[in-house]
Amino acid sequence: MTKPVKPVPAWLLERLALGELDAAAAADVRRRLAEAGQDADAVVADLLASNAELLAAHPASRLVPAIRRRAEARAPRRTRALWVVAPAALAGALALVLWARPAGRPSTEEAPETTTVKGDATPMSRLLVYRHQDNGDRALADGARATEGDLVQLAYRERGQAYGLLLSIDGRGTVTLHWPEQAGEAARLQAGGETRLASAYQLDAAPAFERFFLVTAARPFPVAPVVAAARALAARPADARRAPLPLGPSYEQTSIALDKPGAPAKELR
Amino acid sequence: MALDIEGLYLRYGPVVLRRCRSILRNQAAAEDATQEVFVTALRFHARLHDDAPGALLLRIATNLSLNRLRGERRHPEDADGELALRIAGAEQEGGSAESRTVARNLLAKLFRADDPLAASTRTLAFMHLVDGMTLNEVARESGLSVSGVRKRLRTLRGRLVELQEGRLAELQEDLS
Repeated sequence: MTKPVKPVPAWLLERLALGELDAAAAADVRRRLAEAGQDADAVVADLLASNAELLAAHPASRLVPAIRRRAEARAPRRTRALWVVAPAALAGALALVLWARPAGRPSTEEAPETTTVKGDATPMSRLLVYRHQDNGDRALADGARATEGDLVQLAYRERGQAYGLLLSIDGRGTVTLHWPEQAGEAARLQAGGETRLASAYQLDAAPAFERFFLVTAARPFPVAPVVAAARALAARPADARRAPLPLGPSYEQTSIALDKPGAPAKELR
Repeated sequence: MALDIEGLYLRYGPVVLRRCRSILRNQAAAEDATQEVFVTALRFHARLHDDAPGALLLRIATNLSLNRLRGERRHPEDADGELALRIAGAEQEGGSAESRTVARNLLAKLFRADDPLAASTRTLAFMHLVDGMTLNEVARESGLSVSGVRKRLRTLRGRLVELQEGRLAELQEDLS
């Protein structure tokens, strides 16, 4: 029986048409096309023709100014020093808008009451967690009930701390970094009101709870030690629901835990 | 040096649009995502000085589109556990045509950002399981080592198996 020929990935065809594959890779793609009974030159010609059609339908004269406007709209207002804000800008761009909903006014039935770990009167950056519902977003307080499949939106209000990150730990002991999305430095916090993350987060089947943390500092800080602290806390089932992250005094942290009743706690890994 | 965004768009705009469209299956969403790819490129311009930035732009397009797909899924589908198992069990390079099909939405929906490299790992998984690229091709197109790609995909498969085991346990509880 003849082994079926696997189609050549479209990605590689695009790269072939761009002329960006090295000689060996290009030859391999052409050979595989031939094995599949396709003419490589015709495939490339089709892509180039498609390019022309798409550029006619989406001309640079219209798209490029729109791209520039978007980029400028995301530019930081606090400072023009791009190196300072790069992490936040990168995270926002990569995370993309999952639902581009205006912030709107959330329901106040469950007023957000963040559990702050530092208990003095100094204004702290505030963590906000919303549940998306058909009739709008509802702000969730610490201890609010949640279930698998809930779509939650994370947000913060900056209060004097310039850098931060958002992560969560769950009843299975898993640590999830929500923002910034890439490794490296904490993101630059946006001043002036509430800032929502570009992406929403869907709760999974992890049992018992999902606890969200906003960790901030006055100076840039690396993400990795904070993630490590979260893993350390998540590995202590007796403390994971309430105790602060084991971080030094240069950090501020605040958290909101959502309880998941009906989901039995399982042994943490 | 300022990025020639118009030149970049003229050369890569259609490529990026086709990529976004193939993942999102929605013309309007794909057009919007395409603009986002180039907004990201403006911010990444230092990394675009490469002679052949097509691979980087395709990776950004993939990542952005998967993020968008993930956000669109608001309710779990009953068949997720089965799909997860099929993907987790797809051992052959590139996976079967069937596993590619089921992997598309599942990867977008279920992959958790358990570590700072989550987004790129998801993109690598999509390249391998959905696009059907070999590990060598994924490594070349992402600038990583083959062993690095293999390690990340192993983590993904382990996570999917875990998910499946969790689903089975819940089913057993429901039936008892």
